[in-house]
Amino acid sequence: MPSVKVENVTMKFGGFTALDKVNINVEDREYVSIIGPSGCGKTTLLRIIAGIIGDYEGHVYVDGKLFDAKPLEERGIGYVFQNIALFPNMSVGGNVSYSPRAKGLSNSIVRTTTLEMLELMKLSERYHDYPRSLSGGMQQKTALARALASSARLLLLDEPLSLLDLKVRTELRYELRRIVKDLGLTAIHVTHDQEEAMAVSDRIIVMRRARVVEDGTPVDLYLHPKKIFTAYFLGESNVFEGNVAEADEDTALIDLGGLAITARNTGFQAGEKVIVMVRPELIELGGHISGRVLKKTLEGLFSRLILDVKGIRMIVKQPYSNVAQLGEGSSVNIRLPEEHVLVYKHPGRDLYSEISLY
Amino acid sequence: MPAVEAEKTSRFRGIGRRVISRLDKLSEEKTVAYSLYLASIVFFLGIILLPSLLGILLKLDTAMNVVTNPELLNRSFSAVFSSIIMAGIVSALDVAAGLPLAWIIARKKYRWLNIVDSLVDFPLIVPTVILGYSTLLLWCEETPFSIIGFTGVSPGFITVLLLHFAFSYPVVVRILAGKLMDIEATYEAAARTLGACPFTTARTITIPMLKSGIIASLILSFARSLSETGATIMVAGSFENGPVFIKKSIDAGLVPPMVFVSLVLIVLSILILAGLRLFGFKFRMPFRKAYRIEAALSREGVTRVRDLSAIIIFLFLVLLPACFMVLARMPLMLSYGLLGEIFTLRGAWSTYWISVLNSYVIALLTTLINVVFSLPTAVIITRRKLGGLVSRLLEALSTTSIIMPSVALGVSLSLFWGASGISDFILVLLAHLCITYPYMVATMVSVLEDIPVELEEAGRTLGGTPFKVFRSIVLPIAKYSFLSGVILTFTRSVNETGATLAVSKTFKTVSVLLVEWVKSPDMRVEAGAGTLVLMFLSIILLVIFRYIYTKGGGGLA
Repeated sequence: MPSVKVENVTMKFGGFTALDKVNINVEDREYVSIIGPSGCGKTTLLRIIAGIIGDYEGHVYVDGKLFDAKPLEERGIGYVFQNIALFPNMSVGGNVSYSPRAKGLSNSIVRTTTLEMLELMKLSERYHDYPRSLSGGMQQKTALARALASSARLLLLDEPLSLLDLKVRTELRYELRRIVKDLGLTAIHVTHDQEEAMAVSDRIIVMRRARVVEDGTPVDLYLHPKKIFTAYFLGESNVFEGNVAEADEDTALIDLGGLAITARNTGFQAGEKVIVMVRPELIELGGHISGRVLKKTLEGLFSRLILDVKGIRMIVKQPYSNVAQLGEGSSVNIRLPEEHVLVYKHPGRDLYSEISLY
Repeated sequence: MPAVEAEKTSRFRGIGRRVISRLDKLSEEKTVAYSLYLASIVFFLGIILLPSLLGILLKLDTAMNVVTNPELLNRSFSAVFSSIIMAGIVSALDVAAGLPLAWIIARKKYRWLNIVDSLVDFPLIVPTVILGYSTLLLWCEETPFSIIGFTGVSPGFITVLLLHFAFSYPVVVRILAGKLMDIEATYEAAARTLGACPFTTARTITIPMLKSGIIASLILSFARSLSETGATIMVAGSFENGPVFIKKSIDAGLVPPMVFVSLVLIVLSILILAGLRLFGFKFRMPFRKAYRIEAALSREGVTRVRDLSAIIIFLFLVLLPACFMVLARMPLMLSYGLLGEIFTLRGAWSTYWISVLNSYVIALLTTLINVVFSLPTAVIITRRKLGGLVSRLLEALSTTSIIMPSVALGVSLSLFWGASGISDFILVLLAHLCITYPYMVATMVSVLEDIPVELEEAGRTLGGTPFKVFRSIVLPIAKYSFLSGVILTFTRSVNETGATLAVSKTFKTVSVLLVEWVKSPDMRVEAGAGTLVLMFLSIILLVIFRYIYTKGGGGLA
């Protein structure tokens, strides 16, 4: 059963380093997402695992076996491309049956596998249609059926949903996870969409500038990111620079310049320069910190407020009904629960370069 | 840069920009578009098709002389048969041998590929008759390679085959490499990850997607083999195909065989090519399963042998004949000190330089005029602007002037224009337009066929005028193929001899002059030197073309 191990992989395109000593491990039957800004090397990594790119340094093991020299057609990997890449000269049925035919399987096996996969993706009706006559969602489903029909146990998904519209994208992402879990596959899913990654994966690997930043379960990465970049990249966040004003064993008082907030102390000394992160939806109403609403917008059932708190800009998200009476210019009291105020060591350089996407 | 010059260039740029924006505006008008289509159709009918055919149509009654003469009729039919067989074998060999080289050029990433890529055009810049002479020297006289001379095989079928292969091969490689570069590599990667070995991937994915290019290649090499006259006669020996038979009869003062054979050849090849288009596009290679042998054929050793043989075939059967005449004359050239004399502009060499100038002016005009008129034609054909029937007809008829034996074309053109008293310069230009027009149309058609209409529509909805969309979307996508069309047209005009000789008495292009030199025994060394200089100039020109093309062209200008 396929587990994947990428060991010290470095890839250079001319003078550009796409991957810099990257190590990752994926367990058998695990659904792992790799996320990061465009250009961080995630697609390159996927292409290296698939064997599409060959001239890298380091090693790739699948199921404990060294894969570096294995021709890509022998890797038993299902790859779903960002641009879908259905063969335009073949019908849906022709595309899905491509792999069993290419492997020289008997006609009856080719037929049953194809029909089974089309059934699974609810595409049986479209057997004779050509890709150009299908909607984007159907095309990507066909591509998925085609990859699954190769009876691969390891699925590599290269931004498979990025070209689809929001509705189809959300639907298909749950479908993806369901199928991977039902069939007991291992999946590595590359995306720049953090919401998608959090919705589908068992574990997320965050990449930036050719390196792995950190990995963890979606909840862990969201609530307790170890790196400030992860905090910034996953979901929305309030990020401030500050100084530790007081510190004892349990708590630290942090001065954000005009506003002091309390956080759990994770080993900081008074006087240290730090970075503080608070998730907008974890800020509560009704505390003793007062601010003024600069802007209010609606996002589904949540309202997103931009507050001015003693000269500091802060984003707060609350259920719509909680803040219905507030308008632009109203004053509001908030509370930053100390367990949700995360404190990071200041990188020394400017904060922007630490969290910038590229 | 001095201020004055800077101002000049900026003023030129300003004018250029104004012209372009004026064209942008104009292209939005429906009437402008339709007048452009109309103009290109009038151009095609009045300048290309009618003059090429009229000489034959006027003398149609004489064809009966052939029909009623069993001996002439027999000879005519066997000549037509030889032509078709030769063209069929040549075009099949071209694709079979050209595809691997095109593949290497398009897919591999070796440094030396740039050199190979440029060398492919090399045989195109050698005047065809020189290539014929060169073929004769290489394969039939006493050189180390002269298998034919030694084995006692007289020049004939095989020499003609070698010659036709050599001059049509570069065209095929150009077209196929261009198309291969346009095919996204993702499709191949997808097929590979699905378990297909490289050979199966090529058979089931790449080659089917390459179909329009293969069909275009077959058509062009088929047509070129049918029509070539000058060089074929030189190497034909006892072999007699349509053009050879026509030339022999015309030299003997007989017109009827020309009329009859041209007519039969045109009708037959239009049918064959229309059939190729019709069934070629419908034909799908069935894919039931991958065969064991395909995996074996994909192995590195095998592919290396294949690549190596593709390169060897190119070097020995195409490149070597192209420059053999020059190589063979090199020692004599050096011992005469001829190379120094070339630039003295004395005696024969002043005629030479004038003819070079003539050739380049004609080639440049031919290319420009053809680009302007063949593009709308290609748009009409691919986008069915005037209905499906017009598209089909236009496409089938557009190849007529290259199917016709070039000597017959020349005779026909001089009959049509001869009475009008226009100058030889214009006559030669008209002849070259006729000969190169199909190349440009065919390349543009095969390019446009593969660019989805949606892309153009997207450009239009984003506010681009038709001309702007063409410039900024279609052209950059089709860059390599478009460049191929331009190179083909230009080089074909420079190396044309048959029709040029037939229409012009006084106006000499460099190819015509070189043919004269080759034929006169005391000018053969000069002919070698002249060819060498011409090759050199053409290489410089090709490099400049390439440079302009890779520098400019991309993005919004």
